[in-house]
Amino acid sequence: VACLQVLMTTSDHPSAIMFHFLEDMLRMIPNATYYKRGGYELKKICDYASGRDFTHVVIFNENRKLINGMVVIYLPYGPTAHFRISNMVLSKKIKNHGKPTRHRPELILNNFTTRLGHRVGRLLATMWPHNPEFRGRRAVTFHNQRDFIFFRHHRYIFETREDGKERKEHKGHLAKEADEPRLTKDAKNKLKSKKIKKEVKDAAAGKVSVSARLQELGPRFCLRLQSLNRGTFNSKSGEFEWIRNNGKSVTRKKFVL
Amino acid sequence: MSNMAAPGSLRIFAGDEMGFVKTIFSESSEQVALATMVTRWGEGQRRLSADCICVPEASGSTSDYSSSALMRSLLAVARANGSLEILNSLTGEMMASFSNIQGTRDPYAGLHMFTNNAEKVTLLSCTQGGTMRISEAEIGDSCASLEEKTSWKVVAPVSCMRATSQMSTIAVGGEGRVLALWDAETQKLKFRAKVPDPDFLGLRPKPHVSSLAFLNSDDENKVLVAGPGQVGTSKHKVMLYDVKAGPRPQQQMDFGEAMVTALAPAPNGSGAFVGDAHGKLAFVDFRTFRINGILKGTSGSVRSIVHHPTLPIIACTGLDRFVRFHDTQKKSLLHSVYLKQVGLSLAFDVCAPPISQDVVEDEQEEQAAALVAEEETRKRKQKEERKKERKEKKNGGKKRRQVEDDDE
Repeated sequence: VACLQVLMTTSDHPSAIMFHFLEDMLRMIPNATYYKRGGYELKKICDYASGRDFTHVVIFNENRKLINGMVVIYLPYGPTAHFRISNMVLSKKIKNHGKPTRHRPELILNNFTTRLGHRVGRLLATMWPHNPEFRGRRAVTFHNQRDFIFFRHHRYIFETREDGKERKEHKGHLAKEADEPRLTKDAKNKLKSKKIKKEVKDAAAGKVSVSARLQELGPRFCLRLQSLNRGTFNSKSGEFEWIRNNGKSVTRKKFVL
Repeated sequence: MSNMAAPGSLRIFAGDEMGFVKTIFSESSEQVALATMVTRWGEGQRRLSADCICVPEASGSTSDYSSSALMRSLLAVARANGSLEILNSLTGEMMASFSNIQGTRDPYAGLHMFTNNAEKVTLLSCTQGGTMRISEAEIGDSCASLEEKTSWKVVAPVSCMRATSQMSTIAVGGEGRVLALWDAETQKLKFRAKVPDPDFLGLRPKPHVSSLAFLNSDDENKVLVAGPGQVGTSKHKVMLYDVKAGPRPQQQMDFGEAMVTALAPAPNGSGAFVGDAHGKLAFVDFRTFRINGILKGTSGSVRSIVHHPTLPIIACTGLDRFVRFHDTQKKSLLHSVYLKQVGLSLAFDVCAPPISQDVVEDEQEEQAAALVAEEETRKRKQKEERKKERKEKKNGGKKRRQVEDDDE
């Protein structure tokens, strides 16, 4: 999408951990810009952002060195979702993590079944462009389970293993062999298509097993929807589509997303 | 469809933000749980969203059913693009329309329909920009045009407007405005409430009328208004104004932590149903002026609450895309109907005349008599059967003895 622009900001006076997190998030979301909060009111930030053609405003909240909240506002009139962040792990703390490339990632939204779930899932999905570059083999996953939305960011690679033989790595669908003869472009393409067809046939016939290995990039956290507001941020006189535990006791058995 | 106007049925119209007008119908008003959406009229465009819906006002205690069946079955819709439509509530056919030629976006804040005349329909509408308009149309076979009879400016912005049953007084309120009552004939301001006093901190909340309603559509003096509570919070108050008593609210109560978005006074005057932007729907008792029961079920902001004119049922709709029916006496949820679009306005249909009490009694007597007759025949049959059995037993016994005698 040509005009996708995400404005990222934080609560007032963020600490070091917020900056590390922002580093990760800015690498993760393409077309994201960070502005420091500077004590501006959120309602005014929304106005300024719409005026400067931003499509989203994302605010991360921090309390006592723990990042615990995220507000996603879709501009100009769109819904506002308030999430609670838990179990946040920075990318540098993840073992064998990778550094994300600038390829547009694929989005995977799992288990958003209800009407509210679709609304929230789509709101999260709009933060990324909808034309992923599959060559980059980068995937961002929002997996909903029992109203907990698990966020993961991976790089994947397909592997084929023929019976008895060693594993063969495939970056995409093209297998590069060491002793490949020099071919013209046309010949290469023909060979590629032949190989793909063979692979597909083999896989279908059960001769070759295909698996995917994952390398985790970027941060990892868990989101819980707190409330969904109809317009832009307006906690006082705004209308809510849904609020968690609206004055009632906690319900652990009813799932909403 | 032919029994849609059958007496004793329950019918409600719901206007939503995609411009659809849906009819939810149940053949028997006792069986609300069977109500389903039966028709859906409209194109499904956001710019045609049905902000306000209304049916002809039933004037006070005397339900005027002398007007023709067509005049009773009308439905007025005010749309977001500025157009007003009068539809036939049984078929959805457009009977009259008014389209706003001006380019500026001025959605409607309130709509009322009056059918005092045999053929003419009067629509009272108020836009958010403050234009109060009285339009008339003659309802006939083809689509008529709503002609503007009078219009005047009311202080903008207007977020809600209500009128009494004879269109004698119009109550108007909005953000930054206090309650104002206007006279429809002279088009002058009749009453304006006073801006609330500063509280114990010395802070004065910005005046705001988020919702209002006349307690009784015949009484032009008592108005229920929802306004801001403690400054700096989102708390809202529900206030009762008595025009004759003074410009300050006579009674007030703190409602909740969100803006009150809908009010529906109960017809018997015992209290009012109040809904807010968090989805809290509660009954405020007028004797104590406190919450006397919360109606469970709604999860999103309540956009409209309507009370059935005669039955103890209320219907509410809102951002959670359901229309829910609640029992007003037990405060229980009777039924919820899922509509795929966000509902903005509701109106109960009073098209079908209520069955007169005599007829009801006669019917009940007949039914009772029939039941009694059935019982009697059944008992008689049972008696006869038992007699037969006894006879057979006796006869059987005698026969055997005879045979034995014979044998011997």
